[in-house]
Amino acid sequence: MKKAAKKINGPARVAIEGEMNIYRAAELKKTLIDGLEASPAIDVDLSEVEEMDTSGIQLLVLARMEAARLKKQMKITAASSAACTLIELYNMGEFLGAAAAKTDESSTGETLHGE
Amino acid sequence: MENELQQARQTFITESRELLQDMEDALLILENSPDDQDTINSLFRSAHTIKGASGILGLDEIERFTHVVESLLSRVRENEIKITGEIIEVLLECRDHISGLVETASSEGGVPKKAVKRGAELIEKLNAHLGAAPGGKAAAKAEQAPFEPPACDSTGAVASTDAWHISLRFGPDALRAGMDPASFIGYLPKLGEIVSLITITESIPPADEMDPESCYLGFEIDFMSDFDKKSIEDVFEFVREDCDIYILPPHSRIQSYVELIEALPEDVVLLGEILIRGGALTHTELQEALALQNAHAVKDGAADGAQTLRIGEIMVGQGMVHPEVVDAALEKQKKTQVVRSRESNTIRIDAGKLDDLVDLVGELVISTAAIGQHAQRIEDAPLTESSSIMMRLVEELRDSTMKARMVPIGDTFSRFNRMVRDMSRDIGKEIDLVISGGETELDKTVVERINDPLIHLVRNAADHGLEDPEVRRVKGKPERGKIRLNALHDAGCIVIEVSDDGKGLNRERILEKAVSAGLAAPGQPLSDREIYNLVFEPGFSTAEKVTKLSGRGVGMDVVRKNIESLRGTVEIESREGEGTTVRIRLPLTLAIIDGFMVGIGDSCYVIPLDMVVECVELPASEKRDKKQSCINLRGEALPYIRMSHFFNKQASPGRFENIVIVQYAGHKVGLVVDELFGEVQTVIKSLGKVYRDVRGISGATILGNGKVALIIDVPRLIQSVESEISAVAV
Repeated sequence: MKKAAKKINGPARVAIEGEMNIYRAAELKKTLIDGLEASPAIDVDLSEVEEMDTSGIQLLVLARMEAARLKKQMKITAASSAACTLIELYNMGEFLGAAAAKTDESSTGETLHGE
Repeated sequence: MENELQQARQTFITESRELLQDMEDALLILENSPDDQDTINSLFRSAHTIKGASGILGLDEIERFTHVVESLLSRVRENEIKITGEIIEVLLECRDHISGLVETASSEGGVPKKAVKRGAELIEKLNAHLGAAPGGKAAAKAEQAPFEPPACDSTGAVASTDAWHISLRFGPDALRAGMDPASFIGYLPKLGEIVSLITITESIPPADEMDPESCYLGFEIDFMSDFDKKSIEDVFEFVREDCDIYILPPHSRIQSYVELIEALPEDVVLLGEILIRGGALTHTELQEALALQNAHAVKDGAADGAQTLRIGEIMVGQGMVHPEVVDAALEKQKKTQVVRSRESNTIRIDAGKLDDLVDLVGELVISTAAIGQHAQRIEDAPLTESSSIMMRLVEELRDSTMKARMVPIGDTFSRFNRMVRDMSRDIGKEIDLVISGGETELDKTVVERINDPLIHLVRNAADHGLEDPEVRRVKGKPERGKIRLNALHDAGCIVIEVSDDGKGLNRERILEKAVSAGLAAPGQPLSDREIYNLVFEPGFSTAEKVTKLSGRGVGMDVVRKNIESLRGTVEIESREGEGTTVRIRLPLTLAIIDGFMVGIGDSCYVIPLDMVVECVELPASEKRDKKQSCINLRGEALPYIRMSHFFNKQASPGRFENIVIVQYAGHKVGLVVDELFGEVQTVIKSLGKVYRDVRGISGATILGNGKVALIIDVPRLIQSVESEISAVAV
């Protein structure tokens, strides 16, 4: 249940751990949006997400859309299998830039640019 | 969810059984008229449906095997392969194999090795036929089986896709209510294959307005499934209230898509693209759809840019959805559904539920009787009146409940077509099966349990009753033997007859055998009927010996035991050289009957009302305390039994004794009782195993006053008295 928004010369890294569900939706929305506002680009790390529901997906979509609106960058750098399953079910891999972002490939997640 | 899958499998098994029966019937029809295109189509459809459903449920073995069968049938349908006796033979074997596989579907153990091997053999046979056809490359090729599009009204084009189109727009509160769209969508693959799924995110508002706990998502899904619309709708049952769900069946009319597009909140262009991307519509179809939509708009005067056909200019917002269009769409969908599913006429009910209902009605009958009695005692007129109305209603309720359990026996009979056909090949006799009275209805439990005895009897008739063709020719009979199955109603009973025109029973041989088995004393004078009925004695049926001797009697005691467990009786009629008839009498129902209550000594007994013919007073001349005797009833000798004797009652006979005359299977017998109470509704309760062998009693019932009354088993009472009399006569 930790999250971190650090600024290390480049994209801020937002790591979400534990549950990514409706019980934490409000808190996580703030984390993601604050992260986006604070830096020109964020890397979202979902590798420690144990559980994800539709509200979680929705937040990722929101962050992605917000990034586009603010002309900033957002990418998902890693995703746990729980997160991947849901992203694949919703066929959102491409949209979220997380199609291939399995945990072990955390460094190769492609960067998404707002259109 | 796991439970639902199990349920889906159960439904699959039930439906497949019906389809397999259809296939068998169709094959038997084709045997006589191989060019019947309708029958070929129905055969193909049955196989196709089984294949589809088994695929969905992950029953791969069935799917794989049925696929090959279907390939062959599809070629037959295209007139590329001609139906021959040989093909029918193979297809019947395949049908049996599928049937075996279907029965294994309920168990998790998978398909037994033996069945897999058998399947492989049959596939080889099928391939041989497939290969033999012109252009015979089809054997290995996975053929796309085109399913005829459902009939639809002539106006409007039809989308070419085979997939269902599902549009979902979840309500804002879905997530808060614990309804996660993911769990519903995640369930869909159990019913079919998601061809395409597109998540609609357009409704998500900007970040500062977005409530992270609300649901803004929608989904456009193209879905391949052989399930009906109801099953797909059921997946979304829990969210139906706060979710917009549109389900378009495969091959829906373009018009329906127009209505869908209009009903959904998103941009037309976007929706159009989604429909194309998902494969629901082709480009041309979309153009047509939008043209149609414009026509709508013109008519309704709702859109400004109506004249321009450029799709980008038409925006349909939430506010612009025309309720009448939505209504029309729903109406049309309903129509298509009627065409699609014939299930709408019948409801499938778990037999257990029906049993529960019958039990409850039974209890209701008992308590109504109690109320009726109280009302009479209190002598309150309005109460008596309402209780009698209630009693009448309960009676009607009872009748319709029992009726719901009644099924025609025809289905059971028609299964014998195949059996007789196979048997006639095996034993080299030509046999015609004549079925009559198939519409006669009886209780479902009875129908199920009568099947085995019938199989036995039909097999006996074919094997032992009918002579070989040469023998028949010599005797001047037609070479084709005839077996007749008949059912009819008779005095509260159903009578089922299995008759043949064979050689009949050999009286002397049966007697000989019975004497040697110790079932009859040598020199005992027995009527023909008594002798024939000896074949039902347990000691009589020692397999082959009997077959050689009399040609009859294999397992006949089992037949009788089965029938008696249904409170029925069985008898044989036979004429040497002309044939044999086995006649089974069964009660219509096992649960509730109309009874006639009488008093014997100080207890109450119930006689099934259907068997009661009349009641007369015992003439004074017969008042002596005789056990049994005869009276002169309008010039006819009527034997009677004093029931108080039969049940060993010590009480002195009442002042007035009455005779209740009962009739069963052509016998009339008088039962002398002490008191007549009249008609009662009787819920039969079984007495349990301990009392099974008590003669003359078939069960018990609970009376309105809470007392127990025994139900008199008239057939067995008559039997036991008859045998006593004949014993005395010797």
